[in-house]
Amino acid sequence: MIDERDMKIIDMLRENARTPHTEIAARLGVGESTIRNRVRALEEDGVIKQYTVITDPAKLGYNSVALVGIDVEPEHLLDVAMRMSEFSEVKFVATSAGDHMIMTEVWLEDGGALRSFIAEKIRKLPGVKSVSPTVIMDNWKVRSGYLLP
Amino acid sequence: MIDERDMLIIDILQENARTPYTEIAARLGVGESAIRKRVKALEEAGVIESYTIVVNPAKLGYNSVSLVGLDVEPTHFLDVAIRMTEFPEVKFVATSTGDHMIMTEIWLKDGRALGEFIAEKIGRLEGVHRVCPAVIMEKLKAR
Repeated sequence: MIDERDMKIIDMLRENARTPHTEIAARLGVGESTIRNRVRALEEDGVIKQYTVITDPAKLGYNSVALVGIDVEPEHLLDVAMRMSEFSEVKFVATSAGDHMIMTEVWLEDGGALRSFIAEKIRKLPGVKSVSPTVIMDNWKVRSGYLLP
Repeated sequence: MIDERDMLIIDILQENARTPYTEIAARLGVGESAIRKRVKALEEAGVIESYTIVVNPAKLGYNSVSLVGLDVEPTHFLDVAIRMTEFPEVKFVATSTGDHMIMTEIWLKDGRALGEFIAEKIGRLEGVHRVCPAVIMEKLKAR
């Protein structure tokens, strides 16, 4: 079970995943080995899945970041989702229910590249019925979640 | 300018943000101080914005994660986006164009809580026309 102290550790690592265990220990007023053991337990239980970095896509040359919803013939749901996962431009893929059947996040150099990616790559996958891009203009809040543009 | 060595460093940190600089240095065959300097430059240039963890929402009791698109009256566009950032359940908010005007990511206990959150919180914000949730079923790829 996750207790309050675990949540504090998670919050600190969310703020800065490189925070040394000694610093977390000092802030919580416990020994470093306690923190080390708790962090290891959180990792082993799959609560903490990964330590990662948030980059600015524009600074890496990706000026067009879009969340793209895809609707497909039901019998093609899984192959389209798998095919989408294979493109390096696609950073996130999930099957979903509601607004769209597949949700993806796509990074491209510019709007032109996004258009041709949709027309020439996504729309050509068998079973794709419609592609609905939402182009991100300004990112207001990111807490570590599924989407980390 | 970002060169190939910077990209390798970013890739290594994306895989594991706690990788020690000494290990990155060894993998790239350079000294630790070179790595330290490059990482500092990437941070100062804003290429690296922050270091964070990816958690499994279900293990924290959030069984309903959705990407929720909002359509609003243009005059209320900015206030709705700002109000959305104020809810702790909302993990991501961006203004956008295309399919929806505002995109959000929302974590809740279950589907019923999502229904209530949409009806009682989002639906009551002034200027909101339409709320379109896509409830995540299975994640196939994520950085």
